[in-house]
Amino acid sequence: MADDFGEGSTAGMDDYETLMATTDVELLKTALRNEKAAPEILQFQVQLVKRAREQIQLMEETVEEFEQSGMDPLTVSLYQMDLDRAQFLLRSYLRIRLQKLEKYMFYIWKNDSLRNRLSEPEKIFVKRCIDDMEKHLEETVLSKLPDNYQSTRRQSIISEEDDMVPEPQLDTFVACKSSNRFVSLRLVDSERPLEMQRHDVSFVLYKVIKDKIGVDVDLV
Amino acid sequence: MENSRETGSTNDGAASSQNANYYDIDDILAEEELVPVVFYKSANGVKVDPTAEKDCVEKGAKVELPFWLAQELYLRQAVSLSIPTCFNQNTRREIQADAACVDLKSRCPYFYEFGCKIAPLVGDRTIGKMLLSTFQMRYKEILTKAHTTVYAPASKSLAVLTKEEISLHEAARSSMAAFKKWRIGGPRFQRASVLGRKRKPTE
Amino acid sequence: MFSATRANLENDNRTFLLSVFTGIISRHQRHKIGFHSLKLTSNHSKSCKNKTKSLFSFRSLSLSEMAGQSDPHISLFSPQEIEFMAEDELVEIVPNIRMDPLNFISGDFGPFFPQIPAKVPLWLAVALKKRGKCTIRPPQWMSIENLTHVLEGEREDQGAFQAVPFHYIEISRLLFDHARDDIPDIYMVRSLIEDIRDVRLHKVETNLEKFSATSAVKISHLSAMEVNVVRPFVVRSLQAFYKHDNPVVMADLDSASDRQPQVRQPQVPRNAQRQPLKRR
Repeated sequence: MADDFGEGSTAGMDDYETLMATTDVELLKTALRNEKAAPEILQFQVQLVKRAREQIQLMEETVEEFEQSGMDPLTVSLYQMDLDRAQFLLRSYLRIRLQKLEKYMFYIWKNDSLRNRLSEPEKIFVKRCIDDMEKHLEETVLSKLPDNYQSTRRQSIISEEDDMVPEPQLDTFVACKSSNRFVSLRLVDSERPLEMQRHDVSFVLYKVIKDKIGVDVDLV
Repeated sequence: MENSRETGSTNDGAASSQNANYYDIDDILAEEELVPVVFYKSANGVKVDPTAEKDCVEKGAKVELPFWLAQELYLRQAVSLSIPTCFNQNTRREIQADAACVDLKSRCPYFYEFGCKIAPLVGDRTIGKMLLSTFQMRYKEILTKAHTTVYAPASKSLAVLTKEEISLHEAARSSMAAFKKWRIGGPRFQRASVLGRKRKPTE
Repeated sequence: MFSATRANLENDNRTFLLSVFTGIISRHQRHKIGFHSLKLTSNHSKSCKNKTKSLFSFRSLSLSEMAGQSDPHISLFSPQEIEFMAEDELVEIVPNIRMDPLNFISGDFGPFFPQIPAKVPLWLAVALKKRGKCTIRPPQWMSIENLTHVLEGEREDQGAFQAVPFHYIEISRLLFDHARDDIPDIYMVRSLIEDIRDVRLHKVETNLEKFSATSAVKISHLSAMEVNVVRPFVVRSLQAFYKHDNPVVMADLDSASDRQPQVRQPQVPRNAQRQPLKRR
């Protein structure tokens, strides 16, 4: 995260960075940024979320113990702040995913590879969202339309595909940084590769780097 | 499925991305723009022109129809399309002369979107190029200054912008405004808008 | 939006009958056709008013729920969120108390001894500072010499950005707000940083003029807050360039002409009038 700054760059910063990168808070932050910046739903971070939950729970218990054992209130409040920050990150991560699920529920549900990116609770959520939305559309509008126009996904019975399902715009641009010291990305065959160092920020067509997210680049 | 979409240029990819914003109000309004058509066959029981005496459209009648209708009639060989006035040679000459000054808003508020939709139908490959060069010139002249220049609300340069250009300008302006607000300070612990809607403790 | 839709509805009336005649239903009509077809079959004409109402509410609901692409106000991160991210950056503090190590979820810090410098995340530094438990050492890059040097560099080289910390704007604001007494020559430092920031933002704008259709734009040393400020505009512009430069328009052209003969051959059977046509 911390960037070198001319000759004044702090020695040992890189060591620290590697250390920081191993904390789940830092990983969660990266996951949140990636999820927020990407137009489509990304793979759910099962292990990371599981670990974060466990640590948060453990910390909640610890803070409670501290309070009961009459520990110095300053220290307790600092632990509480750390806990709050971790919870904020976790909730933001889960929330941004829910927002995407609500927006593109039909699209995500019909596409196997997208559906497999969801956690089990998220799958239940989408299913219920779809049921509710279908029920709502049917009651308010569709039941009043002629027979041929009553689908929630197709404009009419002769539509060959789901032509009423909003999809995320993958022809959009995202800002990204290299997650390593240096990365060279082959974007389009005809163009020369995009080379990025740590301090470079690039606005890149999302669909050409989507497979590199979390591997070579992180979104900012 | 994902792969075919990624290549993008297949017919499937194009079709799906077109329906992808089915509920987008601007996409809907862009299809309301009028296209001049000539009817190949007569149509009974139809009154296109409210001042017409009879409820029918004669073969060879010249009418202006909204894009969404013109397109379907065209695909069924019922009408022929001509290029809407906002893409004709006169407009193009004006744009070439001084792109930033042309009042595209009054000509067609959905100039770019409409252009993208009409180009394949009228089979005019120059429209696409014209859209790109128009955008390029106007972008450079007017839009890139959106972050730091404060235009008066009734400013002349803003009055000629199309819907998309206004959105671009507004995107820059409001993002900058949010930053300035943060910089000046104020309540440090502001609730995110989503957090504001907290569930009531009804249980 | 409501008034736009209403105007739309009225505009459409003259074309509506034509579309019924040809059996064409576009999505423009779709939301209204329930209303009109009821009128045509004249069974439920008295309930027309209510129907229109519910159709409107359906439309506005689904638009806000399902679209959202066109709202230029939606910015990805708020400045406050960017600030939150920056609060994990490390700074050096000099505590005036003794405190055991802190084993946080976000890492282990301390132990702390009076007058012995320690590295902690900015949020922790600010929390301790607020309670009078430490002083914060401004980072090295915040020295007047360094900032003057950076500002000169920014002014001299219009083509490139100087190396600054990714979160320089957020860090400096947090320190100015909470640790003013720990920063020597704070007025000078603050005005230098503001100048640097303004020069850089103007430079970004100048850079934007060079944009054209491309799949990637690289900007070295752009900071987190700067990315966030220009992102809505940059993303939308690049998207527009890409769209107008994209061969999809041409591919579509070919497919449209491919499609035509298929439509021609059946010569539009008579019963096609009743058959809804798919919107292409």
